[in-house]
Amino acid sequence: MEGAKKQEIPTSMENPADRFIFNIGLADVIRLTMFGTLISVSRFVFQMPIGVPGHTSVYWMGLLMLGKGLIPKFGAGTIMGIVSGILAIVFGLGKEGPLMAFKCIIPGMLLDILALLFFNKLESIWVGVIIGALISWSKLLTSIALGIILDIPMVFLAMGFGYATLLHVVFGAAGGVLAAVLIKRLKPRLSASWQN
Amino acid sequence: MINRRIVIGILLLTLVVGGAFLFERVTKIQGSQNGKLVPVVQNDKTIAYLDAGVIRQLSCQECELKQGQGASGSDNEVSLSFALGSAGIVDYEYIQVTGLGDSEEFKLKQEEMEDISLSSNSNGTFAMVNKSGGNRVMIKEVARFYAAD
Repeated sequence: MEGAKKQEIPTSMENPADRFIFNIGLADVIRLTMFGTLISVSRFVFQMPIGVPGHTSVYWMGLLMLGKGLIPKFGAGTIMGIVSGILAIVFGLGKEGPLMAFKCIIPGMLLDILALLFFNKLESIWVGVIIGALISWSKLLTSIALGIILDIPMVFLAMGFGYATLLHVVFGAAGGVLAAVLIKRLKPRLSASWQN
Repeated sequence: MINRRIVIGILLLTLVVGGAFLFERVTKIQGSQNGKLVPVVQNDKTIAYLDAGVIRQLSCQECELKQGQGASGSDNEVSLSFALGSAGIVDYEYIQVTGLGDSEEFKLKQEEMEDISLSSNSNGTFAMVNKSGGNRVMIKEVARFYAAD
């Protein structure tokens, strides 16, 4: 009886900020919000008029993976996706209108699942390549799905699909490699200070 | 364990890229065969593809353009010259339009194209219609455009 009372005390005294969203603490949610904001801001700061599909994946997927690598908790990718999606709508990025948010949320959700499958070892270059490429490709697939919903002619969606996939995979992998290198360097330095 | 997953991941990426190119190729071949993806060829090179969705969008654009000029346009129907112009074909001697199956082939010079339009069908294909002949359907399902210099 006394033992049960002792067990109850720590849960009742638990700070609600430690489990803010998806069992992630408030401090981490704020950090993830910062990464989500960086993703959206980088999209129009580094926008290059080179006409190559998927080139934004280098910094988009790079930042997404960096955030997930530094805060390796389930739901981190989704939170960054939601934040960057909302900001993308506010900034008026993309041609899809409010549906644009899905293009940000889906890669974030997939990142959470893939990181789990690779035991959160995002500091590995090869894991970075695979996850970066796959989440970048998921962004392309979401764009196509949105195109179908918005009644864009199939000819525009199907033509160049192979080329677009290849470029999304390459740029996403590049972003993943950059993220892996940064995670490897930053994680040991931040792990001490980024404790809840 | 992680190494095995990395190998599976790389194989998956190879499959994704290969599959995407295969999907595009299959879509082009199947679409060209059933008239849902119509190639526009010039100098033996396919320079564009048209489908019923493109025809609908072009008809909207032409409609807006005509309304701006005071004339009226119709939905799901775009003039052949406007459609070819949007595909980048402006300078040519004649246009050869082929239909699906055993349907007739037409060779049209620029001056003969004024009354000819393309109209989208409900099955994802589009037809070529002569408006001056009481909307006579010339080709029920267009399969290919060839621009001869």
